[in-house]
Amino acid sequence: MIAWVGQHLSVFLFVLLAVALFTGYPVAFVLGGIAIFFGAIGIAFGVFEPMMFFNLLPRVWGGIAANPILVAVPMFIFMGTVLERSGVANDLLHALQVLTRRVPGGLAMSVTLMGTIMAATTGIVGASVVMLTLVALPPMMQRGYQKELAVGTIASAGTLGILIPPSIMLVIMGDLLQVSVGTLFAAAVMPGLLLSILYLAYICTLSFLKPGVAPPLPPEIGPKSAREFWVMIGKSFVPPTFLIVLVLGSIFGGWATPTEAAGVGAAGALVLAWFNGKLSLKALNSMIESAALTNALVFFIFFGATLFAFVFRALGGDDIVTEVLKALGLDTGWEILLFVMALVFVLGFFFDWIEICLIVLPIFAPVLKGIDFGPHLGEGGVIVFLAWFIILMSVNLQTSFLTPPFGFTLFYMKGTVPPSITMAHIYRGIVPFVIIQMAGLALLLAAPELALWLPRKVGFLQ
Amino acid sequence: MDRLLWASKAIERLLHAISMAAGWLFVVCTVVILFDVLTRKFGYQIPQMGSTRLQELEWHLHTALFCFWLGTAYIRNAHVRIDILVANTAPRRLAWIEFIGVLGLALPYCLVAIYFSYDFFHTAWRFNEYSDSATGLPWRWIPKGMISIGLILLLAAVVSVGLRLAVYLWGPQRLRAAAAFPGAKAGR
Repeated sequence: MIAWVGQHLSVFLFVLLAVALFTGYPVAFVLGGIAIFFGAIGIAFGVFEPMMFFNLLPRVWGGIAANPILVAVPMFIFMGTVLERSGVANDLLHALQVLTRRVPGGLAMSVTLMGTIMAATTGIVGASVVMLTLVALPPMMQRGYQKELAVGTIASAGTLGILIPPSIMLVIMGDLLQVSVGTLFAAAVMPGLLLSILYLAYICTLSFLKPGVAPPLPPEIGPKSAREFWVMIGKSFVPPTFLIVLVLGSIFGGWATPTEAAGVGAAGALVLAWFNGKLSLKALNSMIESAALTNALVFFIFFGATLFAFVFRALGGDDIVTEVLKALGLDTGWEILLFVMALVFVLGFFFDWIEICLIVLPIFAPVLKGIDFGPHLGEGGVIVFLAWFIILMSVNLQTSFLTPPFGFTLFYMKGTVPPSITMAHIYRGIVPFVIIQMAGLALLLAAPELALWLPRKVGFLQ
Repeated sequence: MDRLLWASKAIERLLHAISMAAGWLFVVCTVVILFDVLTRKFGYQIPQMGSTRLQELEWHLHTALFCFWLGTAYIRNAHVRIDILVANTAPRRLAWIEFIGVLGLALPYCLVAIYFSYDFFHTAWRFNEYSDSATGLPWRWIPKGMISIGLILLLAAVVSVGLRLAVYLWGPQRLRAAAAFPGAKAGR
């Protein structure tokens, strides 16, 4: 009995983790604290050594601190935070409204387009969602848009930020599974655009069939003369295009590492904010504060998850995962893949991408690396599979931002919308978009080249 | 009890000041990256400040950036919580959960991590550890020490929150409002 408990401590570890997470105590402390607790129990059972805790430091050091790739994370967070407050968004939305004013659901479509463009300039979701809600919701309410459509559009457009590169989620997953960040950024471009096009198609169809949900803009909106029109287009599109070329162009062109591109992008965002007169000392301090808090949140979970994954593995967790998969009858690549996807989708109802990536990926990484998908993925071996898998995870995790009761996006939104919009509106509003995302995921499963074509083309997958 | 609350707030102010100063490393890091990219592009490198050194400096700065904010992020309630099941829990019970978390999870975690991080730092200090690369930066104990300092600041934050909770749970009624703790507001 005692020997059996000793061998299955990793199972108890997992169960206690699940329970403790739901007490509402910060995830990072729960991960670390439970790992320490079970390490101590493991010592009592003779399956763990006190000195093994020493491994925490080299792991944190090598995995988190002395890791040039991860420097991209704070820099992208900083860039996104600066951009959010730089005033670039308002001009862009206005220009897009003018451009789409004759299309059914034009205002909603301009929000999706704006989400797509902003996603290509920032790597975080929080910034995009708050920014989109602040600039896009008031005009939609003013025009008498159906509330569900308005919030659904904004929430879905905002979450594109995490999929369309640059994205800190891709940086972290690439780091965990040892796939180059450039490859992942290239692989995420087409899936991101695909989702954006699916959203647009849905909005356009719905507004065409039910004009009441999306009243058109008055025709007199927009510039009086052609000259004024082009000035407006220039003023609103040049800054984001400048940043996208600066960041993504330099990565795909092979001139800069993602970390360098992030640093240069942050400098670019600072210049734009300064140019728009939004860079006072007070504003900069508050940008720094907000970026630093987000950054600390990400890396503290990294800290806790590193210790947790280590203790889980030391207590024999890897073998148990393999055993469980076998007991469930999952042994082919497709079965394991679909199982992990389903698991991530369900976890997405309760957790954010950070916890899911950092807890689930290390546990399944050994199994995943052994999967051979053969002809479905074409040439290239395991790295191609991992790149495809990470993109599938990203699209899947994007859904986790939108699924109640715990979607990051929904909470960001709730904090920003006027009281006349309730949580029920938000929940109803996101349902069609979650369904669209799942359709996108299915398309990617069926046609991996959607993701893999671009990185192959740029020469990242050879 | 007034003194406990005073101590808790003093720790907070100190942490806030340290963190805000460290936050400027975002700007420093941006400048370092920009400088590295530009000098490499134009093929001109200042002696003793080559690309290897600059790139090592970048992750030294990154380490400082997150380490110096771990504690402040706890006090400011920025760390992620899964609070759907406790969204409607009474404040007093939330305070108990938080207090048990502080004693049972956060404190042991901090203490174990600090103990081993000191070891880690001390080894680097004693052997005057150098970068793995011949052209890299000396004084590896500085970034390694920053992890220790970050964890100590985190411990300070945990103690500060613990003091607040003690005041909230056992202090007089009049101090309750002033002793609001992170996690008191459900939802984010």
